[in-house]
Amino acid sequence: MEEETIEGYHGTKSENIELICIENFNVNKDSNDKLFLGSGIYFFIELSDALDWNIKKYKEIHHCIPTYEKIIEKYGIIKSIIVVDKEEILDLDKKDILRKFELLISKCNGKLITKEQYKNASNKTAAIINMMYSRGEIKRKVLLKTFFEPIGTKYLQGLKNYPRKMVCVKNNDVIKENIKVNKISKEEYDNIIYFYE
Amino acid sequence: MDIFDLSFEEFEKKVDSILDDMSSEELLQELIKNGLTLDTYVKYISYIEEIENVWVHKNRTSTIEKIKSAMINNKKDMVVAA
Repeated sequence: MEEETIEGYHGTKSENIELICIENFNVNKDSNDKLFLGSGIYFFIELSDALDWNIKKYKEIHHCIPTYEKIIEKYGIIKSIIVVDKEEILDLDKKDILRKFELLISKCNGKLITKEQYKNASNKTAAIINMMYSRGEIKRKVLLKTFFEPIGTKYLQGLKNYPRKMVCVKNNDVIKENIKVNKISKEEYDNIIYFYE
Repeated sequence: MDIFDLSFEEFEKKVDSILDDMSSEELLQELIKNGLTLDTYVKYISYIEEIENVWVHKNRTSTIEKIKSAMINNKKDMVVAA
């Protein structure tokens, strides 16, 4: 079996960093996490995306953009080394996988077309993924997906959809090492804030 | 090996067989058990959900916006939820 090593970045509150670095993440603890790829621990491939996540989290709570000093004080980033057999990765950026995934979602949607509650519900994709995992139909330990987010560019209209590649880890075993990121530069912070509308 | 290792045709058959084995109500209940949120006004920073097969990033609705929306639509239950 061929192994792949992925370096992922996870943004979280400063107070969580030390414990995670000592005890590792706990996938089961986050089983109620309602994110788009279902239960699991989420990482960004790019450090700057984890920093952006932290800034958005702060903004959500405090209703303002944090200063560089404040975000460094309140939030931190963990760099994790994820080692996984290639066969255990479900890469949703690949068209053959995406086609099957879309079929799965559309069949579930079709089955529930008459259910008013479902029409107005959220978290559909995550719930379908979670269901398939709980039934043992999906067993992959890692999911990959690139998402595109519009950013506030003034002049680069054709380039305004910014890609963020994400890793969703479904099994603790593949996380081999967690290291606190000690240095986040002011320039990295400025690069993110610049694109906030 | 899991369902995504199957050929497209086999994958479709497998999905059909899973869904044929349950009623729409059973499927709905199983999805709720697995995190489907019936209340659309969920509190977290942002979420991405598939809308008409396109991945769209959505910012969460603020509490004030929820209350405004509820008042406009004269829906008391939404005001309570907000």
